[in-house]
Amino acid sequence: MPDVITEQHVLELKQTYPYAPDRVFDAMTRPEQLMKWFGPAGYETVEAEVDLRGGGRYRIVMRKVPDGAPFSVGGVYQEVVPNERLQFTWRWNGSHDEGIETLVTMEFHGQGGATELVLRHERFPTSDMRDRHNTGWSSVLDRLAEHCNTLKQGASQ
Amino acid sequence: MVKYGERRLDHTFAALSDPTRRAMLARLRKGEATVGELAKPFRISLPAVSKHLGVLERAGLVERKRDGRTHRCRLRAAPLAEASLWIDHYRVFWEGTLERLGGFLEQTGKDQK
Repeated sequence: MPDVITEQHVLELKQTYPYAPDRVFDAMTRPEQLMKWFGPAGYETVEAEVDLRGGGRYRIVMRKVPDGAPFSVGGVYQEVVPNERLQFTWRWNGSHDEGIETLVTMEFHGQGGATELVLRHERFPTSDMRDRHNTGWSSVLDRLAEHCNTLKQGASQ
Repeated sequence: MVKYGERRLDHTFAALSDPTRRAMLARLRKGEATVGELAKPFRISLPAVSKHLGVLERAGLVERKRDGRTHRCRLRAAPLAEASLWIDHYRVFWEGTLERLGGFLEQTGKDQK
């Protein structure tokens, strides 16, 4: 019986692929590519929508092969740094953890023609943070702050 | 589908989100300890230790019993087991998914040659 008692607080996985970061990043973010591979063995993706920007939404619909009931996962991108980093909320509909918002972070580390993908999947430390991330609130605030700064700089010139 | 008691999981993960608290739990896995013994490795005050223990207690991870002028702390592992199961569920999902990504990249890599 495996020892399941651990102080682990996030899931962290690393996987290296012999392809450049842009290939891996594209596979992870382009709907037509996601449709071809996303999901564990025995599942297929039947729909994928991606609005790839901070505050943009994604949605992936999957089902068990060949005719399982479809269920989906979706969320809001918190951070998009092309070929380097993705962070997005993750919420299932019609499956395990229904309605619970969690957070996925992916980093794409280029290493001489290969890419090390580092994935973290975690729950939010507080439900406050979870609510903010759900609406892309922090990214909206960031953009607002940036806009104000730009206005200030403009005014002082 | 299994429901893990979302509230309890939230409290458990909130408790686990602090490295000092994780270290305390690791220590308690080896056996009971007094508050003083738990505080020893950390350069923080006893009230700060007590505060951390309060978080752990509210999450149901630690049980405190008065023992004379001090308290003995004991690990309650059930919430940790639930947290582990939660993480493992996502581990299974992502391991399978990332493996399929490898297959896809290899396939499209070949197609481009």
